[in-house]
Amino acid sequence: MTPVLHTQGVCKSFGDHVALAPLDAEVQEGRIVGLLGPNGAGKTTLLRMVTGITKPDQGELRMWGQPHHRDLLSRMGYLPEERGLYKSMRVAEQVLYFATLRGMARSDAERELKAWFERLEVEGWWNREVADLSKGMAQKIQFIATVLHRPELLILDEPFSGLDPINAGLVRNEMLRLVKDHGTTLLLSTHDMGSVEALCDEVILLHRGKKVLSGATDAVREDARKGRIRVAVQGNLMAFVAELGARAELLSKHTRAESSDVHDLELALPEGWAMPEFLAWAVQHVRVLEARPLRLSMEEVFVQTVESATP
Amino acid sequence: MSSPSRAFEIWRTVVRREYVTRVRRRAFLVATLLGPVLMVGLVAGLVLLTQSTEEPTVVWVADHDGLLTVPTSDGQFVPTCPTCYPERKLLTYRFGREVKTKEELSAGGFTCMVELDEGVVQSEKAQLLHLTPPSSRAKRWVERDLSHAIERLKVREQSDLDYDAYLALQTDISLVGLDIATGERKGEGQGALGFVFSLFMLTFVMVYGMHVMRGVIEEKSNRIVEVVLSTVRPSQLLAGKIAGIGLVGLTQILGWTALSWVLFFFLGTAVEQSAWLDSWTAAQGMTAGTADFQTVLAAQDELAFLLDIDWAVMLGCAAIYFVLGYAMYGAFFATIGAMVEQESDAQYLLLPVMTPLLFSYILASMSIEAPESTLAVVSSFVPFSSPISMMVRLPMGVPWWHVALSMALLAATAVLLVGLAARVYRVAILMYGKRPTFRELVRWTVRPDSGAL
Repeated sequence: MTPVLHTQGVCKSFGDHVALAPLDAEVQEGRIVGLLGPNGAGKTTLLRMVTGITKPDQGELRMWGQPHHRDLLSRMGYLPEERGLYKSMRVAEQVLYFATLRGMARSDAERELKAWFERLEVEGWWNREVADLSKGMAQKIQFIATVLHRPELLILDEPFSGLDPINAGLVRNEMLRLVKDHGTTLLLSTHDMGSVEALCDEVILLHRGKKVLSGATDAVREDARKGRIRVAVQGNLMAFVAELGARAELLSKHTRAESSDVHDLELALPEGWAMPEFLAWAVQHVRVLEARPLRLSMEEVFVQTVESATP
Repeated sequence: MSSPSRAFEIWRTVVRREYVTRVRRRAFLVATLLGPVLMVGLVAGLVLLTQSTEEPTVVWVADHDGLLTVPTSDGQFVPTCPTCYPERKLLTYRFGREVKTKEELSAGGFTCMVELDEGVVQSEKAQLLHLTPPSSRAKRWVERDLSHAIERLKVREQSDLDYDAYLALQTDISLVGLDIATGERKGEGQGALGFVFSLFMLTFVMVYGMHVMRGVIEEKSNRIVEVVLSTVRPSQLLAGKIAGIGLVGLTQILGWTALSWVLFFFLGTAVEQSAWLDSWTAAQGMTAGTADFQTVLAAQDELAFLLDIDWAVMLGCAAIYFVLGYAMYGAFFATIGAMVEQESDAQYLLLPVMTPLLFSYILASMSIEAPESTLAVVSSFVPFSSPISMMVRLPMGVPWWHVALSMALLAATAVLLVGLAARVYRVAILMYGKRPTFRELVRWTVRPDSGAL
C-alpha cells in the first residue's frame, strides 16, 4: 500500500544548527503513529515540513505517493502545540474561516460544524467571543477547526494539553472514531506516554534531530525489555544466586515482609536463554511462584532510549 | 507592612521593571542617541533645502498711470519711493509703464507682473499675473511694499493731515494671483486644501499601516500563524492582510467622500430654498432668482477656489496615492510586526518608518509656500514622499505626466517592497524568542530559499 507519508533523507538546518538529520520514515494509511522525542528533538521541524510551513533542505518528502506540493495540504489537518485563536472573531466564524481556507464550501462547513459542536458538547458557543473561552474550551474549538474539513492525515501536536480528563477522553474517542470510521491517518506528537500506549500503533522516536527508535508500539516495548523478567521464588536465595552465577544478571531482589523465604527478583536473561529454558533450570533450585516478562512502559522505553542515545 | 505602603511598593516595583527592561534594550539606546542627531540633521537639511530651492521672484511693475514711478533721463522708470522696496535676496523689482506679454516677461527673466492703475488707490486690489506662482512669502512682500508706496502717495497729496486722516489713508494692497497662460486664480486656498489632503494621507497611511503591524503581531503572539501557514503561503497571508486592511481604508475614504457630497448637497438645497438667498441676491444687486448655491460660493473670496477644483481627479488621485502609499508603507509595518512578539517591542523599530512619513509631511507644509519649487516637485516624484507631497500640488494644477510618472514610480516601489517584505515575513513570523539581526534580514531578502513549500 502507498504510504501516506514517506521521507527519505529529509533534513533541515537553521544556520549551524541541525534541526533534523537525514530522516527515513514512513506512515501507513489508517494508522496512529506517535512522534516522540525530548524538547528540541526535531519533531516540530518535521511537522512543519509535512504541513508545508517550511521546506526540507535536502531529501525527498512524498505524500500519498506524490512529491509534496501545496495542493496536498488541504488533505491534512494540523493542530500545532502552540496554538491560538483570533480574539476578535466569534467561535463559529473562526472555525468556518479555517474550513474555507482549506477549500471547504461554507454550507458544508456549517453543517459539519453543527455536528461537531454536538459531539464535543459545545453547543451554545456558536456566536460567543473567543475571548470568553476557557483554555479547555478553546482547545476543543481548535480541535474542531483541525478536523472539520475531514482531513485524511491528521497531525496533532500535544492535543490533550489543557484538557481535563473528561474532555481529553472526549477528544481521544473522536480521534479513534475518525481512524475507525473514516480511515484517517493520525500523526500524534506528544510527551504524554500514557496516550501513546493507549492510542499509537507505531512510534517514531527522535533525539537531537536523529531517529533513534521506530516500529510498532508493542514490538518497541518488547525489544526494549532486553530479556528482563520478574520472578517470585521460594527457597534459599543465597544458594539460588550462587547457582545463577553469571548465567543471568540479577537486577534487583526484594524479600517479602510476610514470608522471609519468598523473594521477588528482577533478572536480565542473556540472549539465547529464553524464559522457558530459564524456568526449566530454576525449578531445579527453588520453587517458582510467579514469572513474567518485564513489560516496560512507553515512558521507560522513552527514557531508556534517550539516555542510551545521549553520549 | 501597611497596605498603602505595600501598594506603593508594588507600584514602584512595576515602574522599575517597566523602566529598566526598556532602557536596557540596545534599540532604545540607539534610538536615544540617534534621535537628536536625526532631528538636528532633519532640521538642518530642511533649512538648506528651503534656501536652495525657493526660486527668486522677479516682478515687472506695470505702472500705467505713473502712480508710483518717474522717468529718468535715459528713458527708464524708477520708483518715487525707493525705500519702499527694500533689497531682498529673493525678490527684485523692475518698473515701467507698459504691460508685457507672457513671452516678453519670459524673455526678460520676469516671473510675474503687477498691473497698477489709478483705480488701485481706491480699490486696494491689483492683479499679479505670474508665469510661475510666487511663494506666499514673496507675495506678502510685494503686497507690503506696494501698500507702503501707495500710502506715501496718498500722504503726499494731503497738505493738512491729521492722525485720523492718516489712518484713513493707510493702505493694504491685496494681490490676486492669476496664471498668465490660463487666467486661472491659484493661491493659498488651493494650497491649504492640498495641505489638508496631505495631512489626511499621512494619517491614513500611518493608521492603516499600524493596523497591518498590529494584525501581524496578533497572529504571531497568539501562535495562530502556524495554523494559518499550514494552509496559506506567507506571501499570500501578507498580501491578503495588506489588501484587506487597505480596502478598509479605501472604504473609509469613499464613505467620507459620499457623506461630504451628501452634506454639500443638502447644504446647497437648504441655502437655495431659504429666504436668506433672496436677501443676499438683492444685496449683490443681482436679479432675483438668478443666484444658486454655486453663485454664493463663487462670491466668497476664501471659498471660490473650491469650484475650480476638479474633484473627480483630486479624489481619484487621492484614492490611488493612498492605495499605493499604504501598500508601500504597509510592507514596512508588516515586516516590523513579524520581527517582534509584542507591540511594545515594535516602538523602537518604528523610527525608520515614521521618519520618511513625517519628513514628507514637513515637505508638504513647505510646498504650500512654494508649490512649484524644485523641492516640492522632486518630493512629489520620490516614492517615499510622493503620496503626501503630490496632494499639495494637485489642487494647483499639475501636468498629467507628473502625476503619471509619480504614480508609476510609487507603484513600482510598492511592488518591490511588498515582495521584499514577504521574504522577511515568511521567516521572521515563525521566529520566537529572538529578534532577527540586520544581517539576517539582508540574507532573507537576498537569498529567499528558506521559505515555505
